[in-house]
Amino acid sequence: MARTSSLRLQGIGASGGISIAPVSVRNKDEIDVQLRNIEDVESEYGRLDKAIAECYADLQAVHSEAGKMLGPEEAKIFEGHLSLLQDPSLRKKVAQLIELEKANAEYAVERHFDSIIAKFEKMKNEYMRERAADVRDVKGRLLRKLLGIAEAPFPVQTRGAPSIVVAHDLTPADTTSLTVGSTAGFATEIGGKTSHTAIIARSLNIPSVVGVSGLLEAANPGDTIIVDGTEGIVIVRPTEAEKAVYESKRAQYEAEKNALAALIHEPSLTRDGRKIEIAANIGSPLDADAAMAAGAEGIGLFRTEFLYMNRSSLPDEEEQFDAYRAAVERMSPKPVVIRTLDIGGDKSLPYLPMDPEMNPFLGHRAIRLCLERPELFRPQIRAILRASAYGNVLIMFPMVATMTELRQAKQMVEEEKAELLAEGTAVSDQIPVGIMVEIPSTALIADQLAKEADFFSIGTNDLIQYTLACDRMNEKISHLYQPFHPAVLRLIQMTADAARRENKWVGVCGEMAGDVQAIPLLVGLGIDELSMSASSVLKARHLVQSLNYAELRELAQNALQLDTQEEVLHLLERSGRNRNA
Amino acid sequence: MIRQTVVVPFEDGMHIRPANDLVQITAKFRSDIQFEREEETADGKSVMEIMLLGAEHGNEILVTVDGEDEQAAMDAVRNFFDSKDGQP
Repeated sequence: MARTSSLRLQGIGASGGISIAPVSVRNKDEIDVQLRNIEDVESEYGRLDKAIAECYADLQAVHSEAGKMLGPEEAKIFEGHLSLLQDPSLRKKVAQLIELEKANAEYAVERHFDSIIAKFEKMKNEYMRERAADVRDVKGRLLRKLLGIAEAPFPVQTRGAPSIVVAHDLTPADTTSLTVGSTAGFATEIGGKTSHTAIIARSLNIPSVVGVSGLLEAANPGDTIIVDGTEGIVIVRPTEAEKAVYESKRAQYEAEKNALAALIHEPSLTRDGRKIEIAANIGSPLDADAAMAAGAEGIGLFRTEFLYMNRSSLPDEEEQFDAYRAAVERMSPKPVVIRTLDIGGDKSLPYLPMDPEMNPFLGHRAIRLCLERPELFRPQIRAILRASAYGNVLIMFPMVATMTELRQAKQMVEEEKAELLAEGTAVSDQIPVGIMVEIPSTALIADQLAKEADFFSIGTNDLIQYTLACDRMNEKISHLYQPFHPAVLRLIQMTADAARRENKWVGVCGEMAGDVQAIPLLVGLGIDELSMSASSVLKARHLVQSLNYAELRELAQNALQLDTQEEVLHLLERSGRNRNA
Repeated sequence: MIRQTVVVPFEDGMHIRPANDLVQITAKFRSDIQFEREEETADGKSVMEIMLLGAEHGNEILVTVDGEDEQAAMDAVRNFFDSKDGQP
């Protein structure tokens, strides 16, 4: 029985934005496969081979269309499908079933594919598990070909009013083909953030929600439906009031998106002309593309730990060089701050045995470990230096607590540079060497360090933890983890003042850098660069453009005199309200 | 016959795209190529079997190559796993 009242369902937001449109149900075409006993095995082989060849030709056409729509990277999904079809094991195993069971080709195809799909569905890794959809897609194609069921034309040219496609699941080919024309959104019962439906919907910017259980039972063709891909919510047959709410949400979302998109190539200047560099933090060279697309003016923190984790041996210089070079080239001529290995205690590596420690965060880690283990540190330095020939590279050392550490680390950089140059390897002659400021001792002698470091980047997460002696993972004392504690702000100010006196720049790369509440304060304290996750870059730029540096200088000076974090937060709220008024 | 161990460098594991890229390489050699991970074995020229190894980022795969061009095939497979984006 068709339900008629409004129904709100929670799923997983797969692609942001809001759509309101009628439902178009995409039924899973269940293909009915019957077992037939066959006599002529050779003729079944013939049918199988013919079907494989015809599907191959179809898929080549799909691949070429998809390449035009989605770009070569996303279209690679279909290259994979082509390979699956050509797989020697597929032909062999299906043929064996035909021969052993004297079964028709359809039956053998279904049996073989179903056993494979079952294996995929049992995999632990979500991404791998969702590859069952690829296998299912190819199976469907082969069965339809064998049974003479026409394949939906690709791409589908839908006409008329936009609709939201509702299905149990969508194969990559479904998703791609349905997006041509008038698909306003997708909602599926299964799938996760990494399913192909989600990936393709994101690359085409179509609002989508996946993993909505009970969706098909709730939604009838033609019902109005709201898909909120940002919140992961689906509302079937919304009331007029709900429609009005989401219409305005949608308008707001679109307006914000357009306003922010217009800022991608703009500089981040305050109203009175102070330039703030808004950069992105990345964890692998692949993230550099997203950083560029998000309008980052550089990479303020390239974490190199990814190269060392999830593996059984140390990455060699060559592998590291490739990774650094890839990121540097993608960003060039924009700057990339490469942070040397920040590992130890809590994050151990299987090939780097370390003694257990009572206090890993106060222990043998980061630069301390690297200075003691040159065989670990030197290849990384060499790889970074070599990558410097391909763009704009800066080196940054983590967890520096003393001047001696900075000097020793710089010395190693100089030695490796000299060696590389002697070998005839190109190295940039402009490589600033800076440090993270995340230990109170470092902030307290920032005036001295600023004479020998080329820049500072304040790692607020650790700085807060060390300043307040508060383990951020310990819930019992989470109230003491106070980003806006006047002590933290004073350390930030000391660092910024010290840098300015020596004409060096100072950035922030902790979570505070992307926090809209903290940004006005950081700018007022004299921070030159803010490095954050790529998704926050445009919002931060938008905010910076609304600020007045002279006013914020005053705000920051006032904040430094307050007694508690609460008072600082009140001050910030008041000044924010005045700004928006 | 030669054997070596490689480590999966791909963030999302040995899924359809890297498996496909790998097969484009192995298909060029005459030698038999086999991959093993834990209990599973895969024909090095089969996308499906390679995916079914269920190999995740950082997992080790034992590669066995046997045939006239085994050294060249092993080098090519190694290069594939050594280059992080899977592009030779």
